[in-house]
Amino acid sequence: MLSKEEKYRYSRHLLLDNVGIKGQEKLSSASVLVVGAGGLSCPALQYLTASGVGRIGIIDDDLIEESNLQRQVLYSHDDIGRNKAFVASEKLSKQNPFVSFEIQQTRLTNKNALELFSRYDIILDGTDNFATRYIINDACVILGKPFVYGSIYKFEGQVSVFNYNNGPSYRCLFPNPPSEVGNCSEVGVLGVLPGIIGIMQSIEVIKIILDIGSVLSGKLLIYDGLSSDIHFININKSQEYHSELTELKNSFEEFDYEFFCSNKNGTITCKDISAESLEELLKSEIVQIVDVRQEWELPKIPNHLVVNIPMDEISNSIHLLDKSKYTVICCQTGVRSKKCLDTFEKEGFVNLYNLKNGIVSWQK
Amino acid sequence: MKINMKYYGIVAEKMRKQAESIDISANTVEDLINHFSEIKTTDYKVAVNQDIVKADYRLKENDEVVFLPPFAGG
Repeated sequence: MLSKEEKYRYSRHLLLDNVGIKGQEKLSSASVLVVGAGGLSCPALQYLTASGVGRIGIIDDDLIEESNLQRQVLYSHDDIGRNKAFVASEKLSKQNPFVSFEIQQTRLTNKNALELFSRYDIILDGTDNFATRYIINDACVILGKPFVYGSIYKFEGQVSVFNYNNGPSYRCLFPNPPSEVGNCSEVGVLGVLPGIIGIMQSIEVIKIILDIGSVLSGKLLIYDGLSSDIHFININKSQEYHSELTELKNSFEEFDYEFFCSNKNGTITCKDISAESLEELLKSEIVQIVDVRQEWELPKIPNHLVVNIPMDEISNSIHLLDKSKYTVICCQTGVRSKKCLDTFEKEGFVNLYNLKNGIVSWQK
Repeated sequence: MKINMKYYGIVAEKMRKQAESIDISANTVEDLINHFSEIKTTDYKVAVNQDIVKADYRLKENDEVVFLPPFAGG
């Protein structure tokens, strides 16, 4: 039941044939989880809030930086250093006190996705990397939730709705991540572009909630900001992917998405590998582990596949290594090893990994 | 035969253009792809006349072909 104030606030909705009081009540009863509170999410959140979506979840562990302000329009200079999900909910609560916000100041992973997604009707993608998109897609397929997808590149954007009314999923379009794409911190983006794409996503959410119009299910919308062209591509459901659903459910929480996608934190060719994935690789013996710590650093790793080349000696000794092997660079906590990756890349090592969180995480 | 090409994202960057009409001898999509050395290692989907197709799809005169890579940004 809408209060008198809500009727005033949403009066322009109540006047619309396709909305009316019943539609507005549907909006108030609906719940949407917005993953990421960056470029796409800021405008999407503003309009979902203004429209009166009853409950909105926001998950993001990122802190606001100066360079975000060019496009993440919920934030201002005073917010620099603060958590995005928290600040977004703070501002949006003022915009519409009839909406309740639930925030997670954490990163979405395949360990928390299923439980979190189960609390919401619709999932909106505001992420900036492939690993998270695949997690969102697979969790939505497992739980049967619509996934409102958006992504951007420089002046272009893509929008679609996956897993809606028996429609295709993201993997029906892109079954595997690409080997080379950057995110905004590397390639740049026109500030207004995520504004456009994020709002296109929010109207898809509204159409789903109200069950009106034609939702972008089975269709990919591609927007080119420079020419103002909009192109549609039809997406068919992949029988192969959907027939493996049981296996997907069983393996979802164990699968290493960051290893699968070479785009953790937007780095293009170097990949982070977890201690668990490294354990698996060790069994196959096709890996060499380069420990770039100083000789005196502990704990030592008792494994015949480990070679210790201190960071400052790498250029002298790198020719001793086999470029064709999987090469995992490691150090105490994963910081120095990440810095060394450039040197290895330049030397032509292709299957190159950084041990995420270092030897400290492995030896636990 | 004449094919109308449309490129997006990193494909457009490598091709240094967003669209073009080309006159090419190619029977299938696979033949067409092999002409583009600039994007040999790039991952993208191919759509012909708005439908995603496989490598063995047979092209026709004046087909609209889109090379569609995934986008990461958000």
